[in-house]
Amino acid sequence: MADATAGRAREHWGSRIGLILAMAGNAVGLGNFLRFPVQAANNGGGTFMIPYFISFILLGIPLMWMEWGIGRYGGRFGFGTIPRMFDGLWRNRFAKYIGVLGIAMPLVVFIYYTVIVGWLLGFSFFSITGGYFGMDAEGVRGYLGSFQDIHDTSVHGGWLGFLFYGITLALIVWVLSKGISGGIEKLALYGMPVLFIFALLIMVRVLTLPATELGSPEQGLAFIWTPDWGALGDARVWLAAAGQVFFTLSLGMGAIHTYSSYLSEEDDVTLTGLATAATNEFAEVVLGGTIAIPAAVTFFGVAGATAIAAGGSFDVGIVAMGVVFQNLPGGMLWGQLLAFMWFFLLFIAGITSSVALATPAMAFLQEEFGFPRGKVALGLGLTALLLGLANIWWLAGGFLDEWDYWAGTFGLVIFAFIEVWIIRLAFGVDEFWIELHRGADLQVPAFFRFVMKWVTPVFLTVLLVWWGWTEAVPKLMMEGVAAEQIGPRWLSRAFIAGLLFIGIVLIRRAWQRRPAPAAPAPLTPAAR
Amino acid sequence: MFAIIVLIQDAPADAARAAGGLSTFSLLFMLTSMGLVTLLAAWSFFRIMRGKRHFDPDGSGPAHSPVQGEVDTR
Repeated sequence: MADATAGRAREHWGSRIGLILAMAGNAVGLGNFLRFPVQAANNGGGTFMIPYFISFILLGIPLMWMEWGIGRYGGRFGFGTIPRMFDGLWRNRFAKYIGVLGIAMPLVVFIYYTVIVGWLLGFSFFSITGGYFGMDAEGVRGYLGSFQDIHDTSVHGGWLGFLFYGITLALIVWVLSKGISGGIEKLALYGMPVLFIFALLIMVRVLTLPATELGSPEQGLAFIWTPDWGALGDARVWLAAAGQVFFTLSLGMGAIHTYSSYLSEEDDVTLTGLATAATNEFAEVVLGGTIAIPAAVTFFGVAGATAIAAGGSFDVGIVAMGVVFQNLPGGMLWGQLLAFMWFFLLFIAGITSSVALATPAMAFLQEEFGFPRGKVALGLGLTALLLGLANIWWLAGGFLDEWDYWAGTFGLVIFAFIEVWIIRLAFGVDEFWIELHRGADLQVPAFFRFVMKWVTPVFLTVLLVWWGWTEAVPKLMMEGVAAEQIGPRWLSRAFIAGLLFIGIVLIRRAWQRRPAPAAPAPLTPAAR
Repeated sequence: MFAIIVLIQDAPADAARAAGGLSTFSLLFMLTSMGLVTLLAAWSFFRIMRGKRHFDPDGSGPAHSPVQGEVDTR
């Protein structure tokens, strides 16, 4: 492995805090602020936190450490992408091809996620201009729908969505072209504090709202946190909690691996990885649990908030919150300011995740084919623009939903399942334990060695089988899908298959250019 | 991630649960949960800040970072 990259200089993170914030930026996303509180409310309230924390310990933290460790291990030999990492961990001719998941899947998610991030930028702008102010929930829903759907020109021209998408994409390309420490780290160093400050300010405002005829912030908190002890005996609640932990930490993407590949060989991953996970949990449990739902319940009541949420994916975050900010005491300007802060913090959460999702493909093209960083960033931007347009064009046809499910949801579980079993069966948990503790600032309790060896692989296998059986198979068979959506959804799947195929061809080409060395890199006695 | 949020529409929560506001138990759950994650984050960052390591990759530098009023005798 070492020979293959001799003489190549790789980028590095400029500071440890920059790395943590970039990793946290990767993990903190829309799900922290919108998905978590609803999951908690619908799965036993306060008692949801019991399986949630157990999953965090048995699944989230071990997987996080595994991904950090795998990434740094690859980076030690100059590799920042999954095909080379898998090939180094598992000496099997197919390992590198399986690694295509770690490049193509985050690329797919990057493309559609950028479209969503563009919507949030748009609503940040509309908050300043007061574009949707004066509208009720139905009005804001129509305003959002017209902005999202190129074919719906009832409020906005079709070009407006493109404009914000283009601006977002240009910003991402610019950040990527500046590199790891000059672009991604700087974005995190400026963006993440802004995100947390905005979220804290909004949290304080929401919690100090006066009660209305329909509800109060306290009822919103009760809606999320009231324990339902019967839920603890329900397997679905445990799986929902495990799923929430899995998705919120952005595991199974390939981005953590690439980010940690830019660490030095003796840089700590145990304490830094834990700090990243803890930062994400703070954003989720403390901030996510106290903003959107309590605000929506205050102005719509529990029944009204539930009804709005049932209307669509962004109805809580955009429609309900769009109305909430209009009704805040203190006047329109104050409402506009807080609305801007809300949408802009979501935009930051989205854009920091977007750049992370693009880095595996960036690293692959730079390292394997020697393309310069700026050109790769531009090429990825143009690819995203082209394929993002497909997402926008067939939005109503479920094109984006299909990408999100297969690449952004089920694909992550498959990827994590594979990496966990590679560590378990091919590389060995004991060897990995040594690798994990290289330069460690935190001695991980031996309990986690057992967890990595036995519990996490089994836990993940159960999750995969459960979700595969209850969700993936019905989705694959297009159960419950409207007839007019079947065409776009198959087209969407064809695009994913096409990207996977291109990825496999490129991996083959990369190995022809630069074959893997004959023997795996041994762990040095010093590391033991 | 997008469809994850679609889950919002699943399984409407028990509205009656919220009607009475936060009970002592609910409050306890909320504060314990929030306290745990806040403590974990604070502890991690405290450890990171406290444990700033001396960077000397080739071993040729001073034994530790400069300390005011102290002379490196190595």
